[in-house]
Amino acid sequence: MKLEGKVAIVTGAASGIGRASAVLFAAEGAAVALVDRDEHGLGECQAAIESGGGRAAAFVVADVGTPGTAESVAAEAQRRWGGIHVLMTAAGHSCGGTVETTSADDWDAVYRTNVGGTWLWAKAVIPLMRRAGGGAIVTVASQLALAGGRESSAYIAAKGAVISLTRTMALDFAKDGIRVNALAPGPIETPMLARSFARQLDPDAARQQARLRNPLGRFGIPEEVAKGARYLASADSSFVTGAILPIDGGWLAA
Amino acid sequence: MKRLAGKVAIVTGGASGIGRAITRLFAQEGATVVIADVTGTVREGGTPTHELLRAEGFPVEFVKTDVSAEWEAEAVVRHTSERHGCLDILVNDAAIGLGKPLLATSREEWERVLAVNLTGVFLMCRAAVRQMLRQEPRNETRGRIVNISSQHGMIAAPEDIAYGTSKSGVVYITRQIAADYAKDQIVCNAVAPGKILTGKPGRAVEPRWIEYSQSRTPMARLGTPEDVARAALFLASDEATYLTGVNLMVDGGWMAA
Repeated sequence: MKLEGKVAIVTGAASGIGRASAVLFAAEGAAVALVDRDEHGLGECQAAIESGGGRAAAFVVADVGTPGTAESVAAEAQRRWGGIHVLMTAAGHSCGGTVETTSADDWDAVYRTNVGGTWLWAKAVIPLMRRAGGGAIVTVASQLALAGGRESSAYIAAKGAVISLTRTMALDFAKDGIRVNALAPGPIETPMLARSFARQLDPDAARQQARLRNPLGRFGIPEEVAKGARYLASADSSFVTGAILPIDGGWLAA
Repeated sequence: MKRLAGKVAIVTGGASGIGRAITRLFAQEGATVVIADVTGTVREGGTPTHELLRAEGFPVEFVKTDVSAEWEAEAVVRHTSERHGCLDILVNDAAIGLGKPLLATSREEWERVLAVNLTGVFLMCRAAVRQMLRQEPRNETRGRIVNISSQHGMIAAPEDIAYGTSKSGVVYITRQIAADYAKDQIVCNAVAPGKILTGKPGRAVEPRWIEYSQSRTPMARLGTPEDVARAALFLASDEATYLTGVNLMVDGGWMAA
């Protein structure tokens, strides 16, 4: 059990990568604070964890980018379970569009969730982790931030910011024993991926093109990203910080 | 639940240092391990790795191998698949350093470093992939390769141009094999260690290089061979099923700074 006795906060836990990671962390012995705006999805995730004998608590948060929410969730998780050892910021939001077609409001919303939802939560847990002697923060970027992509400018720019933010946080807090690393998932079968293909003129063709471009010839599933998250969250990666771990079926290599 | 239960692995350079730690961890996780090394002598001292692990009951053997010799690279792969039925995992850890800058490096020295560190990886991968292609997939994978690269191969290796150049080639060959053989369900990734204290004597632990490494490592400590071994285990196991062509940095933050 890789996370026995640990307490984890996972944002975006109602679906996709966040949910698969929360379930896996709980299976590895962690108590998990589940954060999302989707109350129903959170309930399902909590039920899945508890039916497996794990511990979880759900926190409905309308906007992870609003200052103050992270502090109150962290304080409550600390009160319940005694500390915070792992933070995974899997809450993401994407709207599609180029810089020409994206509205200012949509741009801000994408940044608020992806970048605000990373730095504000790190800001809240770092003092608690420092006091506890260390911790692990796992951020979620994207292969698109490294490889480039089209018609999703706000999202891609925001994920680039997550990568830079991951590295600089790793440096700022290395001596506190807090490790900060990023996952860079490729195309993973999640509701967000489905929405992004649905925005294309020919969704099926777009899916097929993406599949063919990928050396493994398929999309990933959330559990595959969760396994990478587990490695980065646990003591298995105790000399790893400031690293970017692509889980992309080889896309970045080809 | 052992993460490499029933798997057969070759670890080049497995007699010492990082390779020794990888061999031990893989054996503990249920793998049968063939150490392919030019010598069984442990650079940092101690009982030869295969003897130590066999005494603990693990199925580990030693096959004297110079990875830069085509016939020897082929032979250890052939021996492994004949003796143990298949080859699931190849770890290319064997490497030599030189410790000389450009103007002090002779042509022979340059070629020797490339021969072991890069051509050796090529020869071992070629033999391994040929074997893996003959195997049926298990859990959707025919075989996995883990190459040990280095942060010196992305940034300058202080006063060791041949080593740094060879390691950059290892990162590239990792990507190429990953891209070319993904469709055949062969997975190839790399681990890029930072400064790892293996206990070996010599240039690596001269005070000026230790101080330099500490100044470049954001974390409060330097690395251990077990840090690298755990990354190699992650990449060699079914935990890494949508990961290929990756160069995973295990460096205490060196490359992030």
